[in-house]
Order: sequence, then C-alpha cells, then structure tokens
Amino acid sequence: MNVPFYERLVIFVSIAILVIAFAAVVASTVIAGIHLPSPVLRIDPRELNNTPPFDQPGLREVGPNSYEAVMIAQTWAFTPNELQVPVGSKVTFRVASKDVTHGFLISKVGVNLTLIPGQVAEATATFREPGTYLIVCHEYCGIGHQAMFGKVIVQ
Amino acid sequence: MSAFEGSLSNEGSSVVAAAPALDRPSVEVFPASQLRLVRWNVYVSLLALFVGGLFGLFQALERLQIDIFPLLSPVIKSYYQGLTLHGVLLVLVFTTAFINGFMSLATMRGFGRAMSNTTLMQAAFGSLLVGVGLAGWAMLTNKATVMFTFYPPLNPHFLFYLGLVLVVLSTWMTSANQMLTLRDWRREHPQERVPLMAFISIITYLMWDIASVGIAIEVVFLLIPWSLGLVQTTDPQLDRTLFWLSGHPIVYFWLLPAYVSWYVMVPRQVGGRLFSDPLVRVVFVLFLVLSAPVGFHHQFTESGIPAALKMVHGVFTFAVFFPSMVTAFTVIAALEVGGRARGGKGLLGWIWHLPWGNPSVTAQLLAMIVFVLGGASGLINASQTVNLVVHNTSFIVGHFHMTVGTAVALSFIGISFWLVPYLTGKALWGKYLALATAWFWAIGVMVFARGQIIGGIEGIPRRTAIANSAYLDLAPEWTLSNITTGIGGIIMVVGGVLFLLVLLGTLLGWGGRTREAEIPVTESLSRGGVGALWLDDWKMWLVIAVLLILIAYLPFFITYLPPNFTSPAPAFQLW
Repeated sequence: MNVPFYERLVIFVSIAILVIAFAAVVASTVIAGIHLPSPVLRIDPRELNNTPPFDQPGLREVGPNSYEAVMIAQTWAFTPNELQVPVGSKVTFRVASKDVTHGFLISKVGVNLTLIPGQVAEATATFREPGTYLIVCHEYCGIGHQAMFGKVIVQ
Repeated sequence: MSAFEGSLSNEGSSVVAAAPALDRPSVEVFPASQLRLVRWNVYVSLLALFVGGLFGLFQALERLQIDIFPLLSPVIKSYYQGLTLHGVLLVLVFTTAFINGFMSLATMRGFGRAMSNTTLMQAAFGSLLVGVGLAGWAMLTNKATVMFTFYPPLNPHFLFYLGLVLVVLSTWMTSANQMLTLRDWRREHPQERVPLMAFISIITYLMWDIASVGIAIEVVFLLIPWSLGLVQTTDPQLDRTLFWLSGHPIVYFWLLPAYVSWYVMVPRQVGGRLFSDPLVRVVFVLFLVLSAPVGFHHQFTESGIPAALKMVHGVFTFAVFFPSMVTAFTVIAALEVGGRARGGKGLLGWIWHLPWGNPSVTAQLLAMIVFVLGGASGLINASQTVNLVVHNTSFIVGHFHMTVGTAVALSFIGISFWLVPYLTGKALWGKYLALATAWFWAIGVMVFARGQIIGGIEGIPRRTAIANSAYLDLAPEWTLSNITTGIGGIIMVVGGVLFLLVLLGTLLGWGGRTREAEIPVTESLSRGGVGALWLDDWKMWLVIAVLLILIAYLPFFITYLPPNFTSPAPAFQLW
C-alpha cells in the first residue's frame, strides 16, 4: 500500500507515544510497586457475619505501625465506620460487601476498590499526614448511597 | 509551503489529479418508505436527547445546592431515578435510534441503492420502539432505578431488561439488513471494491454485533431468569465481566458513526477531500478487531479479576487508542485541504477559512476539538495505576461528557442540521441559533469537565447526590469543582434548548422548503490502489476479532469458573 510520508510519520509518532506511555504504566507497577486489586477470597455474602475474618470486623495491630482493618460494607454504612491510627501507620484493608455492590475510595492515599458481593477486596495504604481521611462509597448502591461513608482519623 | 502541501507534492501529481472519485454517482432517490423510517428513528433519538437532557439540568442544579427533586416527587421519586433516565435515554436510546437511522442512510448512499429489506427496517424500528416503551415504563414508574449499567444484584423489573434486549435486537436487525444489501450489491458488482461509506458503516455494526454478545448472554441467560425467580441467585462478578465485554465496544458503536461523518461527509462540507481512502478502511478494521478485548479497564478495581489479566486488557486498550490518533491526523488533513482551497494561508491560517458560519460544520469541528481532550482523559483511565486515582470518581463523568456527551452528541446535532432538512424537505431555520447551539454546548462541556475532572482527582464519587451527601462538610475542597460542574452543565442545557428551538422552527416550516438538502459525500485524494482489496475482506477481520476476544477473555473464564452464585434477587430493590 502506498503510504505518504506524513501519514507514515503520524503512524510512527502515534505508536511511539503509546509505547512510551504504556512503559510508564509498567514502570509504575514494577518500580513504584503500585498494584491493582487481585483475587483474595471468594465468599458467600449471605454468610458474611459467620465468615472469618468478617465475623469480627475491626482494627487490629499486626506489627509495629502496621494494622489490619477488617470492614463490612452494607446499605448504607461501613462497619466499623471510624478507624483511629497513629501517623505513619500502614493499614491493610480487607473489605467485603454483605448485600449489593459498593465502592471503597480513600482518595488521598490512592485506595480504590469495588466491593462486589462474593469477593473479598484488599488494599494497603500508608497514612503519613495527620488528619481525617474520608472513606466514600463510590458505587451506586441505592437510595441512601450518598450517606455511605467512613473515616480514618490519623493522629 | 506548509507541511501538508509538502506531503501532497511528495505523492506526485497523479494522486491530486485523479478523476473525481465519488463513491457512486449522485443517486439520492431512495424509497419514501425507508426514508420515513430513517426520519422516525431520528425523531425518537432527538426526543430522548431532550428528555434525557432535562434531567441533566436537574443534576447540574443539584451540584449548586439547588435540589428540585423534592418538587418532582409526584413523578420522579429521587435523584437516582432521574439519573437513570438521564443515562439510559442518552447513551442507549438517543445514540441507538440515531445510529440505526443514520447508518442505514449512509449504507444506502454508499451503495447507491435502497436497503434490501424494508420489512426488516420496519421490524428494527418497531423493536426499538417497544424496547424503549418497556424500559421507559419501568424507569418512569421507579421500578428500575439501577443506572444504565444495571449492576446486579440491584434488581429492576424484568421488563427493563426485556426492553434493553429489544433495543439491542434493533441494532442486529439493522446490521442484518446491511449485510443483505451488501450481498445484493455484490451480485451486481462482482469485481468492485465496496464503496467506502458503505464499508465503514457496515464495519461499525459488525464490530457491535460480536461485542454485544456479552451483554446479550448476561441479560438473557443470567439476569432475566434471576429477576423472574427461575433461578435464585446470580454472580455479580461474572455478570459485570460479561457487561463490560460489551460495555466498552459500545462506546465505539456510538463514536464510529461520528467518525463516518468526520471522514466522508465533513470534508465535503468544508470543500476539502479525504486524504486517504485505504487509511480510513484500516482505521475501521482496527476498531472491529480491537474494540472488544479491552473490557477489564473498566474493572481495574475489582478484586475478582487477576491483575495480570488486567494488564493484557491494558495493552489492548492502548492499542485501540491508535486508530483514533490516526483519525485525528486524517480528518485534520482533509480539513486543511478544504481551508486552503478556500484561501487559507500559512501554517494555521487555513483554520479561519473553514466555513464557521455553517452550523453543521461548526458543531462537528467543536466536537472534534473537545474530543482531543476527551480522548486524552481516556488514556488516563486506561493507564491502570493512574486509574486507581480516578476510578468511579466524577473524573469518569467528565471524560465521557467530552467523548459520548460531545464528540458524539454534538456531532449528531451537527449532522441533524443537514439530515432533518434532507429527510423533511424543510430548510434549516435559525442559522444563528444553530451556531449558538454548538458554541454553548462546547463551552459548557469544557466548564463542566473542569469541575468533574478536577473534582474526581479530589475524590468526588460519581453517581452521587452530592449536595445531600452526609460527608460534604468534611470535604470543603470540593466546593469549587461542584459549582463549576453545575454552571457548565447549565450552559450545555442552554445549548440543548437552542437546539430544540431550531428543530421546532425547522419542523414547523419557518425556514421554508428546500430541495437542495443532500447527503454530503467526500471525494478521496487517493483510491486504494493495488493491495488494498484484502482490507475489504470483512470475514477475515471478523475471525481475527473473535480470536482476540478469546485471547483476552478465555484465561479469565477458565480460572474463574465455576460461578459464585450467591446473590439473591428480591431483597435488592433499594430505591
């Protein structure tokens, strides 16, 4: 096929831009260690209250400055809905929905999970600055969706 | 000498001097029965635009703390019911109805013959109409406040599902009619290349045909039996995966008809010529092949899908960005030819010589400009680690109001500025109002997108009645973004109202009658030449497209199955 020079140039530049941008994405995973959610555990949401660790939701210290937060999402609240940790804490969130699909967004630290019934979701964040961090449900879950939130208070 | 003139002389004079290469001689006499169906499709589409857009106004006001939903409560029970109507009417009804009509007409014009089966065309329109009626009834009676994504286990009335199935069925019937027309044309033209306009219209539908299988399986085999109580439980993770198998390609089903206009109609309207016929075919074939194996980029934050498989879809998502980059070049090149032919000089001087006084052109030029930003924000969504910052925030809403909400919608508005006169024989009324429509829309969406994009980065969730949210006081930094979103949305609505006036004036005959309205068709600077024939082999591309879908999705299904059927139905009507 007869491809004119400027057409070829545009094709080359377009591919180069995409390859470089994708390389940056790969670098952010490999070098910066940012990972997407992956399968953790499959559960029956109807039995969530009897399924460990969700039979005992709450915040547990698992090491120096290191915590595990087990949380349940249901219409229209998180349980527990408030966590208090010291500055510099590393918190691993283990969250599951008991009913419909919910969201779990802590925007300031890049935690972004979709809580699909039947799937346990997991993410880790380090809270370096003192303050109140909003946890917001960002997946439409019914008429009370805008009331569903929690807080991480870092002192 | 500009860069583009250089490229022309590079090619030698033979290309430029080629005989005018209209796809077909000017055959514009099609059966009235078929043109009537095209017209009705356009009417249904625009009605959906106005009703859907009205809810956009209410949502914009809500961002400004003016909550009028309590006043609407006799009819519309909640923000979310309005939002569901807004989404379904705009992205499923407005788009599908317009595309069924417009692409049928483009197929007819491309082949220079009527569609092969008028009954099938009637059936497609009937299916759409009944489908919109059923889903519309369910939404208006607040039995289906589940958004256009209808994520289970939220559980709408089954007629909502059935209505959407009928809407999809109307697209399949339109596609079948195109294929019948292709077959009949081929019998009479055994050696000829498929005319460009017909080819890209057909490819648009073929792409959607295979991609829509995911959503068809989800709704017909999993959700309808579940909502009827024939099976007790469903698996939301599996349902969503099937949904997004179709849910991303559907955006190309909306976008490609706009591309058809940008490639083979707008250049004619500006006095330009299409730069390269084969390159356009390559672009559409790439969309056919690459549109579907990308669905996981809508599911980056879902924990049921392994991160490694998300990476595979990430690669394909970047790849499907490529044909849009080529489109930017080719379309702008065609515009430059037009601008220079009209006396434009210098590197960018041709831009001011484009016919900015033509509302159809202006609307589509502005749609293209907005699409550059919309496309760029899409690449941010596609970048999986960056996606964690913006996923399901208002950033996404900002993105798709620039893409489907403007690149597509404003293009369709621009197309209707010649299409409605062509179909009705009534001249466009209110040229300056029509121009203002385009400018209000484009400026409005820029302001709106500033609010939604920055708001998303600040953590504003999408699909949330934000003024009523329990946590608004804890996030004072959102205020500016919410105000900007609200003002931008209102400016867009003003554009929509102006469009309604233009349309009403035209249909009422205030502009008089016209016999000059025609379907614009662009000449091409280069015909395919040798070696381009294989591009037209749609069967081969179809096979490759299916193979890529299997590569992208089989590893997931193999590792995921058996399903986790644990979500019951009747408890989850939560609105």
